[in-house]
Amino acid sequence: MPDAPVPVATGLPGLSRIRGWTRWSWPLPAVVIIVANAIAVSVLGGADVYTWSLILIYGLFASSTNILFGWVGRASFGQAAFFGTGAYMVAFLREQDVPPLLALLVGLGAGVVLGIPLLILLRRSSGITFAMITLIVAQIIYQLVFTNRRLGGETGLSGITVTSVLGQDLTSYQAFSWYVASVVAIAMVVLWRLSESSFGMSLRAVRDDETKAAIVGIPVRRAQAIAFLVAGGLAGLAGAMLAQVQSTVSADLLFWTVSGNVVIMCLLGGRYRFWGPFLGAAVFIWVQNAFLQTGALSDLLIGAVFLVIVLVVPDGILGSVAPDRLGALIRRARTARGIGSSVAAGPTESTRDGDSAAPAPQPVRTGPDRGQGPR
Amino acid sequence: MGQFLSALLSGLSTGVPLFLIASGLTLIFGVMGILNFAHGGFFMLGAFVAVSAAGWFGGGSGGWTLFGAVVVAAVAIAAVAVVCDLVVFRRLQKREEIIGLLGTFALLLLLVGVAEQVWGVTPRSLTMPTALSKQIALGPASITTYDVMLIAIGLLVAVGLWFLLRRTDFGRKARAVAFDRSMAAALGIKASLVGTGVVAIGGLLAGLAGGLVAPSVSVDAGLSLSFIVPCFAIVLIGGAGSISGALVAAIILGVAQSLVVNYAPSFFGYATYVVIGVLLLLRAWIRNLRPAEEREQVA
Repeated sequence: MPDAPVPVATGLPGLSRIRGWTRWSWPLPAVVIIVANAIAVSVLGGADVYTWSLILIYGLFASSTNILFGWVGRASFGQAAFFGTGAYMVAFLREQDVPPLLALLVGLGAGVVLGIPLLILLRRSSGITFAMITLIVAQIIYQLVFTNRRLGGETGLSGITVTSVLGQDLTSYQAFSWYVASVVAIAMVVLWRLSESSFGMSLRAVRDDETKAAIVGIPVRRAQAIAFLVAGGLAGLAGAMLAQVQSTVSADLLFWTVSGNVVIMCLLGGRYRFWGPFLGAAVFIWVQNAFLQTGALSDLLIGAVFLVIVLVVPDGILGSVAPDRLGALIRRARTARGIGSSVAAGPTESTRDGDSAAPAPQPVRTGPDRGQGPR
Repeated sequence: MGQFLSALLSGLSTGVPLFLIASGLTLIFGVMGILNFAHGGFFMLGAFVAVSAAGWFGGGSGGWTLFGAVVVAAVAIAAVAVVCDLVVFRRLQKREEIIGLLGTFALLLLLVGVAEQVWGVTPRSLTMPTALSKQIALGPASITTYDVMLIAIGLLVAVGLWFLLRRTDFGRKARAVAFDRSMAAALGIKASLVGTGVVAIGGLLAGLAGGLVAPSVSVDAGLSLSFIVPCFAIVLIGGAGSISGALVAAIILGVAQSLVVNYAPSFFGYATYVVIGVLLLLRAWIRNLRPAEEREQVA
């Protein structure tokens, strides 16, 4: 028998479609965001619509952080640096007559550019070291901003006004909410495509086992680097939008507790689900607002609630409320057949990713009893 | 020359609270595998308790008032730490390191909330005892008695920790648990009890640091956030679980801070972080010089 040529994976696979349904599922995140926004705008009034815009922005911020925390399995405690940089970019451009959408792109670009030197610092670190180095670098950037008079120091910069975009009037909270929702919807579509692409799958493979991922031909370091840059860019975009919504920026945006909060959001909603971080952000901001009205007690209550969540609901809200049906099915099938017999075809832990971001390796049908459903 | 020496000496004393906090952090990280954000909260609570305790002891500027306040703070925070271990750390320990980090971050928020609830949001202060604000001349340099006290306490704690870990039964058990938890448990060491002991020591040191720092800073909830990040860096630079590494890193950082305050005050603030960054890079560079198989072993 002649030797068959061994296929060699070269470079990162592009956005190739893995499963048929991603062909038509791509507008799904946009539909979710737009419908949610339509409901929010019609039900909520006044300041609550403003809060909803904040939820959209922090939802995007948390989702971008989750590329690192949930997809690649590295928690960054310095994402506030990207968030704040994006915001300050918009503040810088407030006196130049820059179209708001272009300003957002500048924020996104700034996030990516900031990520490049950080990548060099972070080359060999993972786990706790990665979290700590991102935290420390972000604190350096915070101090730079905090002590710089041209950046407004402690008080920050104000007077960022966005009155219209593409000819649409943006003076009401409702109109602004639609603007934010549109941008977030586009960003979430990009994230969804990324998550469902073979690149997204390779990130999860890296998370589950770097060595095995390298063996099957995934360029591990490059995948991690790209994920870091994408996360930074989207955080910058979210920050830029926040600056436009709030019309002021201050160094507080870059403080490390912001980074900590956003990781809590991911964990809160469920870091192995596509919508987990978004839901986490919504719950976080809602809880914060609800408790702020209790006055001085708010910090105590917020801390207590999040501590209980970390201790009691490790999979987050989505991970616990909507258990991963497909994954459970596969696990049950494996247990029934005996784990040893299905090792060759067995799915890895990636199956935790749930029904939206579904399992990476489709189980190969090795026996007639495979996939007969629940017993 | 005199100014330089004075700056060096006061740098040593600046490093002492950092060392006290970081040595507790590194012990807990070594034995429990948890990098404890809440340690900043312990430190802050220590300062608050010292302020209150000084009030109970009369609140004057006598040296014994501060002494009593510091002792009360250290013991009280050790108790708080034990409670945190029983309720929080033991559960977090079974999970991945990152979840431990997040759990203790939530605990830190909770402790800040408790402090705001008990002591309010207005900053408190503790009177510096008159005996500790005297200047002592050492040749061309001069140093305050407060700094001398800090340096002495730092030395005492360093020697005490060395003795505890190397010469006592508890220390041997703690090192065994840090080296291999399940093996230590198999040999009959009660790993969870050792963990509680280590957390209590960490709390004691953090409370001590809080009490000692209280006369020289304005005591508010912000203390919990401002000290913890440099201390994390010290743990990383010194090597996880290494007390001597923490001591060296804390001294370097303290001296660097003090020199910057004296010679380039406008750089204060981020100078700390720049020094941290340089030390971390140096450490990574030194590690890369070693052969690969050695690199695999985490200190």
